[in-house]
Amino acid sequence: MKKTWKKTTWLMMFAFVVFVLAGCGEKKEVYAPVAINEGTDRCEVCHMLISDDHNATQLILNDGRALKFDDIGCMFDWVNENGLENVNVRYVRDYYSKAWIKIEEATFVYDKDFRTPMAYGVYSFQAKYDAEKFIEEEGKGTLLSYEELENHSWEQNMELMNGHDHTHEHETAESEEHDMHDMEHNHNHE
Amino acid sequence: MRIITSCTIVSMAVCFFLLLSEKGIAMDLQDLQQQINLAQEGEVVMIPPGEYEGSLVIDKPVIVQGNGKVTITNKEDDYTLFINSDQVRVTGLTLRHQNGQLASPALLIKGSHNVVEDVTLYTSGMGIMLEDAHHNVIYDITIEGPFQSTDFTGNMFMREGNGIDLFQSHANVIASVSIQYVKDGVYIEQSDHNTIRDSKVLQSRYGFHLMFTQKTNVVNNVAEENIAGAMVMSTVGTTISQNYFRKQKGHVHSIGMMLYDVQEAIVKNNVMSQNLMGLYIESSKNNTVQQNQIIANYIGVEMIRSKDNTLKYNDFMNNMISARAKESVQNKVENNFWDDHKGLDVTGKGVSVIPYTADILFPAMIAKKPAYQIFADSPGMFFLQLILDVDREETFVDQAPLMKANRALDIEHSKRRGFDVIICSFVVLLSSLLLIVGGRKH
Repeated sequence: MKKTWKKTTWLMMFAFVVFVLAGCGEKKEVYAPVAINEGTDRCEVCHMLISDDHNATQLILNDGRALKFDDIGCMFDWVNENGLENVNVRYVRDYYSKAWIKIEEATFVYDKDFRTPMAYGVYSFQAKYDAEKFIEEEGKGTLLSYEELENHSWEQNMELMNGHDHTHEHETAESEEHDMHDMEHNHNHE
Repeated sequence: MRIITSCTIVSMAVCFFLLLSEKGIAMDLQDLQQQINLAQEGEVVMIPPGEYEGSLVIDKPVIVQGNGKVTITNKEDDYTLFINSDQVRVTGLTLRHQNGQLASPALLIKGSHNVVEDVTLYTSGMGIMLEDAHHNVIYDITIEGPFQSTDFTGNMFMREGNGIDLFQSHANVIASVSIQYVKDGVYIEQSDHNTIRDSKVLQSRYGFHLMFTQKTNVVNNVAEENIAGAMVMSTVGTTISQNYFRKQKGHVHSIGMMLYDVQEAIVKNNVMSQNLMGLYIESSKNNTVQQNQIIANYIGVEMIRSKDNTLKYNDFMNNMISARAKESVQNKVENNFWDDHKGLDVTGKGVSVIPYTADILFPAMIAKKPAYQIFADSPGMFFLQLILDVDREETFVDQAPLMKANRALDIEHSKRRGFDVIICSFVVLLSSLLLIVGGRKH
């Protein structure tokens, strides 16, 4: 009888420890950002090699796997496709210092003419003041908070490429091709 | 004593003269700049042979011609030559752009209907940059970047400058250009109706990189030993024909050609050989891939999330894995030759009645665990494919694969292979003979 009681106590203690540990586990551990390896890292979405610059972003999955992106737009593309259920944390970079910041803590500036790897035209800043100063210096750009960025229509930027058609303006490069033939002709005679 | 003194004076004079002439070689460009500034429209400004230091701006329609060997070295300014006008013609120059800024161009063009011909550029950053420049001709150009190495892993961050960079520039022709050791050989962004032909890009990051372009023509070019031969991204109506994309295999992500988010492209008569991946197609639709030779790559073709593409009359030969696909339905795939396919021709028309199915299992496996690549082509994978209930509607199927190749093997490649076979046979024969002779003696 005594032995059984002892066994039960041990079992209860074990269960208590398990519960305590499980309780601790509920407090989400936030993974630290990982470094960008320029030689080998490529964007999870567009597959371009990632430059270790202010445009690089990353998200870390709950299993610890880091997915890296060359443009913040690519990260949003991935989230649209896969959701945030398995995402532990998302990081963007400060435009000036290149320091990793949690996406929720950053301020953003968008303009369709800002050159980013996939032409999404969004830069991120650690300090709101820097973002405002940047807009002032560039003379263009819209300030976006994280909440506003969540509702940002990323497609608009792509209109930049698909919307313009220069067929009438430039037709084909036929006249240049004529020039080229003349040049080749001259070369052959030389 | 007098003789010694006069000898000393003479030798000093000679040294002084030599020093002067040495200094004189690096002539200032100010006179030349003034000559250009004073020239009438259409006038020819001849540059006498020699070495010059500084930078030049051409802001009126003139012809600037190097009369002999003309080299301009720039170590300070943002550009070495700036064409800020229309109808300019520049020929016969060598530009050494050494200002150390990775993103600054040796030659900057902001104008239209200009011609740049027979120019050699050695640059510490970018080669030629066209901004809002249309109908220009870039012909017979050699560009050499600063990083004379094919080590893509460590030095990638140093490669900031592209060979030729077009931004919002339309209807330009780039022809007979040779580019080496840069970031991207030819990079075209938000620019339409441009043509790249008869050009060559070696040992750079990407050979030809198109982003957000319409109706670009890439014809008869060679891309060799880059990370990717051609990166075609978010484009409409691109024509890619008669190009060689070969030996892209020195990097873990090496690809002969990648089509990403591409629509209505025509990829025809190209050879993609000896790459890690021959042809990669993702999120692309309504493209025609026809009569290409995809030879001796590790993976021939991989198609991900793409539909309504046509793949026909292509030859897939000597690839370790001919085809892989994932989430790629509604593609019209027929009459290709797959050398790993065991077909059956019952009609005698050279077409197999047994279809060819691209591998679907492997891309799905490595999507989450890239390390599983180690199982590529392993016997286990073959059995897994047989055992597992794989949704074959997710992949593409060639309903009528050909029994014979459409075209003969790429000549250069087959010659090389022939040579390899001869050497190997000879080595085997020699070692067998040695073994026999050695064995007998013992």
